Amino acid sequence: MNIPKDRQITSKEEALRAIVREISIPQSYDKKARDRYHSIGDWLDRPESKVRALKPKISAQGSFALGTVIRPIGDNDAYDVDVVCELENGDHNQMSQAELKSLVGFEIRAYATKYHMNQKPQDGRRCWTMEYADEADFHMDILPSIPGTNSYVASLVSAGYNLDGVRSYTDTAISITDKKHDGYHTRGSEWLVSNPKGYLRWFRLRQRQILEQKRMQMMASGQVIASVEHFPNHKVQTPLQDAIKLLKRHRDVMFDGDDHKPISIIIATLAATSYNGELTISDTLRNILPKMQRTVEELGPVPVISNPSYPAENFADKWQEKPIKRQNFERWIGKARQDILAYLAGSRFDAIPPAFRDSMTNETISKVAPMMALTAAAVATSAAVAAEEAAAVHSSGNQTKPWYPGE
Amino acid sequence: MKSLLRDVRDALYVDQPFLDISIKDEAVVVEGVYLLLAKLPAYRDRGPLAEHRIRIEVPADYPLTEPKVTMLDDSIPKRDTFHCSPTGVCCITVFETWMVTQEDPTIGAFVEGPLRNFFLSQLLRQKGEAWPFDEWDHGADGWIDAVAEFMGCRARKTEVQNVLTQRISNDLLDMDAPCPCGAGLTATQCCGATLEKFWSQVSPETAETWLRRLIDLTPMPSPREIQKRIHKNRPFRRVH
Repeated sequence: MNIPKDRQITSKEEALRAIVREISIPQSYDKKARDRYHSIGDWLDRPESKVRALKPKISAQGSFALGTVIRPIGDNDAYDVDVVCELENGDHNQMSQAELKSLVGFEIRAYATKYHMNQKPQDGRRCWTMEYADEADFHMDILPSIPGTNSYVASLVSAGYNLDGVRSYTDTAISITDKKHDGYHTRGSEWLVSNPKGYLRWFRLRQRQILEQKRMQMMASGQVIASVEHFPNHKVQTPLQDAIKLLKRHRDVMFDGDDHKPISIIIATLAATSYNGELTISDTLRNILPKMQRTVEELGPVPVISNPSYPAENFADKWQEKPIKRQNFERWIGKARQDILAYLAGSRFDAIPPAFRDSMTNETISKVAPMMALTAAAVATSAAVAAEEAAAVHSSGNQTKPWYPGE
Repeated sequence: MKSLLRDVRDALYVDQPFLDISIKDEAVVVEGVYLLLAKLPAYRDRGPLAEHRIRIEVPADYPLTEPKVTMLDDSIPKRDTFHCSPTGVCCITVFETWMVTQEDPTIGAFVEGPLRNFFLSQLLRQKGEAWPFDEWDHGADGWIDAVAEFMGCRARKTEVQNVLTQRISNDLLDMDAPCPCGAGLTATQCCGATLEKFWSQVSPETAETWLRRLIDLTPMPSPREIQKRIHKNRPFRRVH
């Protein structure tokens, strides 16, 4: 196959980028998902809407907000779109969680009827779930919520946390509904707290340096973005996002259909915490993999992986009750290291080893492999390369001579 | 042991995915396929320059005791001319002098330094090239050469032994006193300038270990062996 020169892959970094392109959600699907939740937002804000006075605002959370959405591996699997519906004028003294849930649910059901959706919205523990089934299957979870700054502060103070490190996250906190919560039907009770916008902000700030560069590039081309904090994640592609996508794909292949697979939010949190501003996907993976493994191994008997934007939330809260989840995570990170580094360290850029091929799926690699082209550097003889490498050791002053002590 | 295990893992985690690490008999044992990787940006994506099945035994008291590297395959000839014993033990370098010159002689530094240099040299040697970083003479002579070069004195056993003995008993180097090497001049006139550095890099305890090594490498010959040597050197002189 003749591949145009500009699409030829001549390095591992380009190969990784091509794999990421293959496993990422196609742009048209991404747009479709965003159009769909914006359409729900418009519906909630229409003049006849029962929640209009409460100022409904729709925003993405989870991988759609982080820009780390990957294609599902099975043909019948759907994209999960997590959306927060915040009623900005909502007040927990004026309404109970149950009232908020049913208020939003009423409008969501009306939306489903109006647009002739096949399935009725499902009333879940925390969210309303809508299934979209057409050329791109989506599974949309809509989380009803109200502003939760006071509950956020109160819950952290009562749990003994110092607020100094999280002051910048207080404004974005929300109170959410949960059917299993004691005060679900009671007005004025404290609600569960979440902070998806705060998390998003933290995730962006972990990549401040590279986002600042991208922001300048976008400004130069006429697009105005006030600051790194306002960066729309899905509009950029950073090495951290790409590394997370590769890790998630590895997880999906390894735990196909397993309920106890490592969850995306833990992968994203550990990866972003370990990230140190690397500029390439391979450097990012080489840096974050050992740190992620060490962090998990050093967790005590009560494992805690805090939400950086809401420290009282433990992403690993189910690990103690279900030790298999922890074991799976440890097993996965060890295998991810072996499979990914088998390529990064152990192979030529154009010879993807079976372990890495399998972990990204054969289908993905078979699309990328034909684009690989040999370069002069790749075909240089090993003796010539070794001589150059030895010269580099000489100039660094780190040469050592072998010595034979005798029998 | 736990921290050594962690150091070993950190050293190998990213670049050596095919080496397994375990603890056996008071040592961290690393076993599997070692990848000789290119570091120059132009060749990094080329994959390993060579692969060798090896075992590295890192003793619990590392870096006081050197790691033992053994070949588990025939990827390099098991001959003294290749610095590999018939049993596959690799003679990486004179560990003592390397260790004291390192700011932080971690196992990572050993893997990236002497171990990589060893296999890089092997690759060139097998292609018919010379040892790229040269080599030390075999046996005690090579060890004495390496230590003498490090000390800055002449490569003679007596001089090396004198300096080590002096280092064990003297905390400070007196530049106006006779040179520790025993050549007869003052330290200032002789090896003082380089020995000052040696004094700061090598502690009395380390000097004692080195002296033991020197004695191990150069066992005292029996009177009959001495007789033979004299005869060999002066075959026509009658021994009374």
